[in-house]
Amino acid sequence: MRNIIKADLYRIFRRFGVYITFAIFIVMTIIQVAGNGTFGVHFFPQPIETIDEIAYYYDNDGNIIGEYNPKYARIIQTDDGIEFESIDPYNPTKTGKAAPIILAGYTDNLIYFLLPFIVFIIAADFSHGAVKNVFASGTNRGKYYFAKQILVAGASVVLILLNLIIIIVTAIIVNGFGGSFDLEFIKQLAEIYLPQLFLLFTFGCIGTFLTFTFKSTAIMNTVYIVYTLAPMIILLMLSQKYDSLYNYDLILNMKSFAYIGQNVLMNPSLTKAVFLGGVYISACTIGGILLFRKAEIK
Amino acid sequence: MNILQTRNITKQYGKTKAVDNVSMAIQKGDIYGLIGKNGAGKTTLMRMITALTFANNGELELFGQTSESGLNNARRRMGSVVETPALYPNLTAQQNLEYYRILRGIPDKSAVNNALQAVKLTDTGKKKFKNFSLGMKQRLGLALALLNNPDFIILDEPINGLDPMGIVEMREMIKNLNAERGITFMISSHILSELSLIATRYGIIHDGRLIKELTEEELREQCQRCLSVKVDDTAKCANILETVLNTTKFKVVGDNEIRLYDYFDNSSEVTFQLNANGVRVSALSEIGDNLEDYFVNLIGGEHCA
Repeated sequence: MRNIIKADLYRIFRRFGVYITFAIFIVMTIIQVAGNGTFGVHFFPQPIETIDEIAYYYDNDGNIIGEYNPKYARIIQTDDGIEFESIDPYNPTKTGKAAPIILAGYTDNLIYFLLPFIVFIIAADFSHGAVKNVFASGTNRGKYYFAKQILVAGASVVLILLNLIIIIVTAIIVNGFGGSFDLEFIKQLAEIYLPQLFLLFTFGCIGTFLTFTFKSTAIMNTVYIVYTLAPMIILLMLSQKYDSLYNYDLILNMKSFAYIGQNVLMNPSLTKAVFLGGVYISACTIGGILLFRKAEIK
Repeated sequence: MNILQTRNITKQYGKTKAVDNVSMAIQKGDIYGLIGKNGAGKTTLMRMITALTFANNGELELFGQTSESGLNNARRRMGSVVETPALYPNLTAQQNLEYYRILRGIPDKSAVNNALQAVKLTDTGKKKFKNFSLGMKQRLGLALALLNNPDFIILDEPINGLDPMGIVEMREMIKNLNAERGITFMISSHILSELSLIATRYGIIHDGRLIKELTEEELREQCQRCLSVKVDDTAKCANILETVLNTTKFKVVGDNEIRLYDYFDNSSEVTFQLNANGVRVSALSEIGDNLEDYFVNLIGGEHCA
């Protein structure tokens, strides 16, 4: 398995595409930081009617009990319950220390950046037929599958770390760090981003499963994008009637961890999200290996 | 010692049997030529041996191993190019082989250059695989098969698309590797005249079934030169050959033909004696089967391979 990983790393970093993807990712992350206030782009107040961002807040049982605009307010937990604290849009508080907390709700774009990496890591083997040489020389299919899954997990870690670093560095350059880089800060980042990383890895497992099942880059890309978008759209359509459906969408669960950073554990069930991710990972991995074990290699 | 043995191996796609109860054996040192029409089951058989597909029934034995893990271990002693050489298009020859060297855990870094040298592909520099000619791709495929210093190599149509020089080079490479390194080969080819120049054993597959296995000597025997004598009475002709011309080297083929494996230099004597003894000879010619004729005759002459 170690040899497969080493060989793939050798191959992937000899592809021009991987550097282009990283470059696009870096630019997009910087734009994201800018677009969300650090550069003062959105510092003009908007009338409340044009609010296009809505965040939900929940009771202790995880039920949605209201909504608010995170651009202009944040929720704090007091002894009397939940209160809103207004965010002054004229006051650039988005320092290097604050930026990753504020932008934690935008990590869902990472699931789309994971896609080209799944292509580089797995789909390329199938689209060029090079995978034939792997199995013809006695490589165990299960080990091959796991090795690919580990590489995709590695890509998830790299993406989330790179995302954090770019956000912090960009915000520091513009607004300074705004505090001390202490253990508390690292703990806070870990609280938000580790569960997000876990759910990002879940998407990696889904992508791995789809690639091994369809063995085609085009089909895998299409199904993956539809898979990530469709539940959200369907949930939005049905949400009025079936609020509890939100519990099953991975992207919404990823987003929910953003509110840990605002000192309000909006989603009380970290366990639920971890369980949900665990179910997806197990189902995709076991299903993927079972399907692939005796699959035809074209 | 058998390198490969299959026992009643069957592969079925829906209701179609691509490979039907094939039992065959390849011995150490063989250059085994697998012959068959398009869709006869050659590639499917090779795909089963190389774990790209799995048999529905039957048993596969490689280097004495039959279990799944044993077969995987045995495949590490194998090299193969099944269908077309498939490598990464954006990598060079060197990079492609280096990738597989790492993947296969081959510690000797010089293995890459040695394999490239063996197929005379050391001078491709930064040229990417996607820009290679078909001949270069075939040679790089062979280099990949040689990378782990294998004992057994499977090549599916290795001379497909090669120019005449490329065909000669590929043939020489295979012969040298067999002679010098003792590598056993299993080769399928449509170009039977080429296959007949290198193969030491043959397996003829038709409609998924292995209909004949024969050695080089047996094939030579089957395809040897003879006089085809067309006569009105084969029984009488056979009697005259035995009693008057004192030969038993003949075979009756059909109702009015006898193949005589004697008297090549004195065919007029044959005609004379037959006529003198009341057998009317309508035609006499020297013929000789080649592998192609033999194959066509064997499968019923439906198509040439």
